Amino acid sequence: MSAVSPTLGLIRGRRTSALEAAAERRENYYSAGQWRLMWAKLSSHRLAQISMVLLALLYISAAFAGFLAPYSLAGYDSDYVDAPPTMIHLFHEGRFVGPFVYGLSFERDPETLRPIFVADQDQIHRLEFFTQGSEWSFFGLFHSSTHLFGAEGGGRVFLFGTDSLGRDLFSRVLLGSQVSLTIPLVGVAISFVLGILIGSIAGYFGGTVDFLIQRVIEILRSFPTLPLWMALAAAIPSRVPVVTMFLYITVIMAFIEWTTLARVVRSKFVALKQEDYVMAARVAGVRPLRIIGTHLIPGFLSYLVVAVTLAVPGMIIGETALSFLGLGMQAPATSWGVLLQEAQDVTNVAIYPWKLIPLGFVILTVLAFNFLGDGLRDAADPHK
Amino acid sequence: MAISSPTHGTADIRRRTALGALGGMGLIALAGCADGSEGAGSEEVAALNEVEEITSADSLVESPMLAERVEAGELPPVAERMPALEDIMIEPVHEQIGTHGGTWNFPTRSAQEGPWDIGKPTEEALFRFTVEGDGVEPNVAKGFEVDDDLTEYTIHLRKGMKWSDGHDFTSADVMMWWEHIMRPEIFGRSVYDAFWSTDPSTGERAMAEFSAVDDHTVQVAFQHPRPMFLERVAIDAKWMFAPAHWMEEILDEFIGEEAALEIAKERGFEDLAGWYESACYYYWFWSDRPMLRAWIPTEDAGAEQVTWERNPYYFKTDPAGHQLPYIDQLSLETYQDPSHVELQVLEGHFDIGQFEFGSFTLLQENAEQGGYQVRQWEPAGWYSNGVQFNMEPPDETLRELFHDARFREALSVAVDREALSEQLTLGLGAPQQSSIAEGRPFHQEDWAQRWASYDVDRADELLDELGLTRDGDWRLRPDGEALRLVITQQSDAPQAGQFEELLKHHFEAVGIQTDVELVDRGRFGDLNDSGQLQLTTSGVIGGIHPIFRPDTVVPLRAGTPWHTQYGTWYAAEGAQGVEPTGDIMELITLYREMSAQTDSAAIDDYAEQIIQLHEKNLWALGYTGPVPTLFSVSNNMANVPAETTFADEFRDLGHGRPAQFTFIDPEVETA
Amino acid sequence: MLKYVLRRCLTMIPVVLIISVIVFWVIQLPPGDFVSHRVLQLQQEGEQLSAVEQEALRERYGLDDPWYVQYLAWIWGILSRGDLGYSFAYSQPVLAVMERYMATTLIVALAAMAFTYLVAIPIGVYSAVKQYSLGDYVFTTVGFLGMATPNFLLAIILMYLSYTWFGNPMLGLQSPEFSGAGWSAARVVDLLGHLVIPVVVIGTASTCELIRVMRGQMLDEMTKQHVMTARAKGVKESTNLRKYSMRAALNPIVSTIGWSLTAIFTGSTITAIVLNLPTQGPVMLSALMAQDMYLAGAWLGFMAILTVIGTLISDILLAWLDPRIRDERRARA
Repeated sequence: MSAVSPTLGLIRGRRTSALEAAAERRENYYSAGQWRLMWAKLSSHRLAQISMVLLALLYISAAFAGFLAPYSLAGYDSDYVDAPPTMIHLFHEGRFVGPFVYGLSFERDPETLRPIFVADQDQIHRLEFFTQGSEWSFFGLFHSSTHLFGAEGGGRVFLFGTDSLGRDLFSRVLLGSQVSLTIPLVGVAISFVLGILIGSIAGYFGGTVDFLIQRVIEILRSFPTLPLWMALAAAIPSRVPVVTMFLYITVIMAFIEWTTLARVVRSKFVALKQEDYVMAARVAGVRPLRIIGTHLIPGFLSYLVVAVTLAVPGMIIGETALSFLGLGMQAPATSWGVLLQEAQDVTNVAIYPWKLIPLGFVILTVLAFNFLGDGLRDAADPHK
Repeated sequence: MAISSPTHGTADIRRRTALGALGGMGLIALAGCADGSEGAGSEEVAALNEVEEITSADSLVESPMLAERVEAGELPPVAERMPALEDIMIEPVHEQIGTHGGTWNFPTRSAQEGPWDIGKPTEEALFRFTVEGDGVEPNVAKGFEVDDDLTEYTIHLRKGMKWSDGHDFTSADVMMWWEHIMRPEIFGRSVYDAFWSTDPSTGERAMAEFSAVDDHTVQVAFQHPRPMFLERVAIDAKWMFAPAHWMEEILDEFIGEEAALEIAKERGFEDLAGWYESACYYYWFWSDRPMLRAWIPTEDAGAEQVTWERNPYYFKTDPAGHQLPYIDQLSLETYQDPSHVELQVLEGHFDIGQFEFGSFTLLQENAEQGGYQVRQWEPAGWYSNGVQFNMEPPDETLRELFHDARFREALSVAVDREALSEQLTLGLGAPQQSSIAEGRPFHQEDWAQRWASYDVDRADELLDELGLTRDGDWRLRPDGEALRLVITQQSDAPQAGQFEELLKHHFEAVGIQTDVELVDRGRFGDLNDSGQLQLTTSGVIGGIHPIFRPDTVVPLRAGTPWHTQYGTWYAAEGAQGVEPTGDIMELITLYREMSAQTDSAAIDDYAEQIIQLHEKNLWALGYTGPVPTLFSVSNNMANVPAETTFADEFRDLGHGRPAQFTFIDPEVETA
Repeated sequence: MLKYVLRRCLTMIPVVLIISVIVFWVIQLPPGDFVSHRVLQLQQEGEQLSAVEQEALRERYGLDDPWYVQYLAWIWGILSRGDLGYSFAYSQPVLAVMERYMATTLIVALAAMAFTYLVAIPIGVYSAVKQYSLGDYVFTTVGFLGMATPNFLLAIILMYLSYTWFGNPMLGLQSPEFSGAGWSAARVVDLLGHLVIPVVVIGTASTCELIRVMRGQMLDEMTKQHVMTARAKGVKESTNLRKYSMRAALNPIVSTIGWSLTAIFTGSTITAIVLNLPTQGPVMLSALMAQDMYLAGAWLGFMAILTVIGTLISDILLAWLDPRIRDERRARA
């Protein structure tokens, strides 16, 4: 803490307190732990801050997707096929009514068969909060039928419109985020563990072990990812439950990802191995695993954190690529990749553009992770 | 309404087949007014098409493109290139006499995936289906005669007709095909059904015998009566000839195996089998192979864009004496994804594009800007979205359930057809049962309504009756396990997964756990052939007439999911597969008897019985009625039928007679 | 140095062999084989192949042998006669099929690479020099957007926009009127026009990454001691940039060139399908789905070799360029 005694400050009076404050800050800075430093620097990086908030929002809404989504995954509403986003109004004929939607009538244009939705000004459906709807479960722990909001009576509130089977896109985006936001995390976690483990073994022990591991890494990296994914996914028996499919996809994606991390870990090890404190530990007879765990890894953990954060966007995009090839989640489960693959159609791009909204979510999430990673990198950089 | 088929003077030769009188079944043209004649113009067109024969060589007019070459001495004059005047085939025009010229931009998949994309529209069969679809008419052949007991067919060819390289087309070409290509089965297909006659008493089959009476007459003789011979030729064998002079240069029978193999290697094949399949079956990609088609390739396949050019020796003219085709060139362009065709049609590049119904809204909305019209051709299937039960699944309990009509009825009424119609067919597919539409032959009253209501209570009632008690959410089999159904579909089918998802939703609402499996083609083929499927949404049953292509309605061979095991049994003559019983066996019996009939009324009678068995049993359930196949046709193109039947038997687009498609103003149609 | 290169080259061979085995195994892993795929295709055309005919086909293609036998026969063919095998789908030798698409694949890949480096490096330098300026933010954002959007969706959106704005969706690599025609200035312009969308779609992801790396490196270098000294001594800023900062900053960039090529090769598959490019991507994909063993195996093997070579080149370049490693080696030698 402060090396300057408080009495001295009192004696010297207010004139020196500013100096003391500065000295105290400096003291805190130099004696602060690595993580506090990082956090401090991160907090001043504006983009990273925004990203953190955004990601927090996304993950929280993913966790409570069942509650936040007004409809379920299996809400096939054939009366509202390919409907555009529903307008929420506040004023009806000049009076403030509170949020509501108009009733919609559905017909098809006789020439083009395009769905036409006409708002019926006489039918008003208020938006209710904490309404009853279809049942959902919070990760199997508890069930509920309460939803954050919904339209009363026969009204429909499709914030992002519907798809060709009449399913609410807003709900699907929320529910799909459960998959799309967790697969990358789990995948990256797997890569992380594998990467550190194998990378440190290679870096620390060197010699033949290192050589062999490097060759294995090289072999894995030489695989063109796309065909590998396809072949692996084609070998998966198709009748698997949702969770298992999820795991398969994660493993497939992490399959090659860990090699990048392993290489980083290895090169850091090779560099740090020569450091004095490591030599000292070895001479002192500390076991290799302890050296690795206590002395070496913390030295570059920050780099790893950065690498991991920056690997997430690749996985998000990878999941969308898998879905494009038809290897994603099976209906009725969904993910952002599946939603994008469904939107991949000239008809959708041209006539029903709201189906591209999930693209915005993917972009936002990818950008958020990137900026966060950038911020972390700047924060972890000892030269700054 | 009906365009009279080309008839020359004398009545006996080249009439329609005996089955032309399928009108006995109340056969109205299969697509309402088949040729889509637009009111007032139809009389003019009919008048145009009155011409029966070209009377003078002077009235022959060739395309300026060819006239140039004749001028330069590269080609003989048109009169010498075409058959003898009385044997020239006159192709009726659909709307108007056309103008020579122009390039037709044609989207196609690669030669490996889509050889038929260009193969079907340009095909010239010996006999082809009439526009009305009620029988076959002579095409390459000039006519035929058949004796009273249908054992001897005499086919007449056209005098003076030539191959695209100028060689004469004679009976030697038919004999070459039969003796050296079909019979020895050198292109990987066994001798087609058409060429076998069956002993009505023993069921034993005997192969036909071909003989060339003279240069332009071929006789095909059968041991037993062989009705529908020409129809079967039109469907299976399609053409029945091959250029003898060219084949003699490449078949190992003539030049020895070593020389033949060398040629195969030069052409890029490893063995003779692959080469012969390409040279004898998918032959239209070789620019040096003589053909009878209206257009022939100017270069071998492989590039992303290949040009086909008019055949100077094409044997047809329009009623005014213009040598066909009207269009000078085809520009075949390879695409990989249907969205490419969509975009380039919107842009106005492709003159004719073929689409699934899902593209309807996009096409209609951009029609004005793109300068095209959307045509709707009716399909021959009985439904657009339906499910087939594999009637011999490996699981015994399921087998019993599938054979119980109540189970099938339950699964039929458990589904909301109106909803499916909106979700899958833009509201156009009628919410009805798999059935034959009104106005078509063998339409049955009330068939469309059978088991077609949306009645979840009734479904529950039926399932309860079957003893499938409910335990919580799911129904149990008699052995106590939860009842599970698997619906299999190919992963690259259009809209794959959507229909199946909805079925799953509805089946689970009545307590049947359902899994959806989307598998790739190879796997699907395996599952199908080995009889391991349970339910599948792949494929449609139906067809023009059970006697033409019975495959999907009668178990004659493997391939159609609902009767695969039975078909295998029949094709292997009992050695493999499972013998059918009950109504399914009855189908086979009726088919056998139908095949032995010589009288058209009797044939129709048996056909109707077959259809009625289908109405009664509904081994395949349909949820939405048939939806048309869409064609976008450039506004600068004429003579393309607005509405007709789209079926493989009729060779898809070929049914519109592409040789008489014309550009209204060919000058604007360059590349 | 030479010893190092030789050693790496030698180890490359067993690596490539192992990759080829795994690739081959992976291709035949899904159930079914080419014949089942073909049979279904024929069925949909209205053809039937009886069980006997299917067996004959399998025998003809050698598909009734276990996979390792097929593999060994294939490898032997490659090593002894340079015969890459037979493509069942195309009924042609694999080499013929590969040759057909090689040229266009290289054109697209090289154009994408050129785009990437030619665009990324100057922008990276600019962003570093004018840090936090408007230009910096704009470029960073655009780059990020390109990287964050999945290729296939970006491709179809760009195609559709091209159609709505310019009336031409720019599919494929050449407008139809030029095919078969001789090379002219107009044709080259047309080709370049068609290359815009593919290059943008394929290149943006790596461009973005490269911009960031370049920017980061430049920032590092610009604050180094020797640069500050030079600046203090009055050296012109542009010379400063060029001679000292950029050269050093380029080191790690140059060393990743080896990998860029393979990344672009593989990354372009989906894009090629969506944009109808006649390149190897779609061919390989359909070969994989149809289990056309030798064609898929040859392509995958080829790409694997490219990656291995790329890694090798990267490592060599790194070792050579980085003075620290170079000096260390000299010191040791």
